[in-house]
Amino acid sequence: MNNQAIQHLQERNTLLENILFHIASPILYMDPDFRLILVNKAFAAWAGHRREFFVGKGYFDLYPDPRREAIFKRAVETAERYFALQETFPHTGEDTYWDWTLQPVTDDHGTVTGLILNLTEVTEQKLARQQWRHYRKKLERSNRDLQDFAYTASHDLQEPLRKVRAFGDLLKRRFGKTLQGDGLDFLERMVRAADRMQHLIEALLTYSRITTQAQPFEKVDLNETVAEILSNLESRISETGGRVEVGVLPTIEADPYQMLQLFQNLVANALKFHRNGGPPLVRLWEEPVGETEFQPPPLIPVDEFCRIRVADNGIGFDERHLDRIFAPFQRLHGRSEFDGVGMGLSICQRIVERHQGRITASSIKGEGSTFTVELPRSQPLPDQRRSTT
Amino acid sequence: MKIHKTSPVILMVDDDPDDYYLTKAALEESGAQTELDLVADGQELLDYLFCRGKFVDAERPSHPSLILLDLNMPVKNGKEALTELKADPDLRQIPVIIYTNSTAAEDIMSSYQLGASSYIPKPASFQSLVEAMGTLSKYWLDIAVLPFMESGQPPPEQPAVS
Repeated sequence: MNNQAIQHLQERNTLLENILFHIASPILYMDPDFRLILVNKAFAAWAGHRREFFVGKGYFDLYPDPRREAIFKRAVETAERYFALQETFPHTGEDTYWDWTLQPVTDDHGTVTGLILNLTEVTEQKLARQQWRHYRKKLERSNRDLQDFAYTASHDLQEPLRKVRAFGDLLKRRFGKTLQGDGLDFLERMVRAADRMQHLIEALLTYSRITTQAQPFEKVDLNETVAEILSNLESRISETGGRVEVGVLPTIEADPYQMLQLFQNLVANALKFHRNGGPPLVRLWEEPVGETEFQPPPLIPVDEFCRIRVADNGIGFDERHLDRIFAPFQRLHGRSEFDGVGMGLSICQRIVERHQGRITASSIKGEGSTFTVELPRSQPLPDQRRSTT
Repeated sequence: MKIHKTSPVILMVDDDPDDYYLTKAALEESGAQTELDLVADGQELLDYLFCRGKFVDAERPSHPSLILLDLNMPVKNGKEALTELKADPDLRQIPVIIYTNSTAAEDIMSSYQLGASSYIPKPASFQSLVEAMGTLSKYWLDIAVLPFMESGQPPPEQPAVS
């Protein structure tokens, strides 16, 4: 070897050593008996010793740890890399967390000649995750409290209201004839207002029950669900002279009662908001979910979704009001035109959300509306269902 | 000395006097020939039936024909009272109808398991209350035969109708 080659090798050696020396992650190299051969600056700094201190010493003599010693031994036997997340090391102190890799180095015959231990600090991530967990728990708790509150409040509000209605009825029955002037009219207005309040509270209860009194997910054949809906709505369909056309629908994993609620609300809405001109025509069908702007929730790929459309030839709505139609207690029409408390679509949306799906609507005013429901065919996530009475 | 009554007695167990008033009015409106007594909670119910406590000197039969039992009450709730009642070899014959605001599936199931004869959610309007009480009294007091029809006595023996 000539001088130039030797010099070149030395330069290269120095360069590599410098890189290893200055790398910010603690790194050490040891022989198959875990005697330290080389530690870098970061390792020595974290451990609180000069680099020379480590050379020749046994890693587990310095830092006894039977669990890790077993891992190290296995790495020597199998020549396989070992990787672990978010652990502490005695040489870095107990308040820092590290991802670490143990990489065996082998010769041409596959025999392990050394081990590289490489640490990456993840204390920040660990703390952020802990904090995130903490906030998530807090948020879940406050959501639950809110749900419980809505449920209890609406439940307890019913009680005095029932009395107002009942005594109002009784007053009308027994003394209605003796009331003078506008007396009976006032009484009737009171009773009507109480009736309306009753409907509002019932709708609120239904809304809060979607999460507080939910049933577990199971296989639901939506064809059966819709058949039941058509029988439930039979009189309303014949009253309006309407027709409901149903295509072949999928079987999905869902809460069976909530599927009934969801599609019954949509079909009932379609029948309700019909035009005076002709009889209502409601159509339900499944459509393939193609490439859309739809962002599926994590863990459920787009092609795992089914898309069901519910279309009518009714009065439609101005799409400017799209946000409003799904909001609780929102109504686009006067009470004299269409009855109701404005909770139907909010209930639909909440059911769809519980199933990790999406509901949207499109409409041309005066020509009809189409509601589009996208639901996962199966439910991979454990449902955060709770039951209260 | 117990006074014999001529009409059957329904005993209502409810902590809400408004509900008692409405139920009594509904029974009257429905034309049912029955008396409606009231006790305020499960403990009072048992005192009434065992003629003890404030009912120790009651001048009336201790066994009503029928019991309308609310579930949610202070001191002793409906289910506790029902459990005790059904454990008594004598009192267990009295049909108990749960009459409550709860429509929770759990309440309905456990009430029947504990031996309730029927379960009626309190109707929301007075009209439906009148209808419910009319049907209830018609069925239980006119059609059905009860162990204690009147005056706290067992029903007279009657030839079986084939």
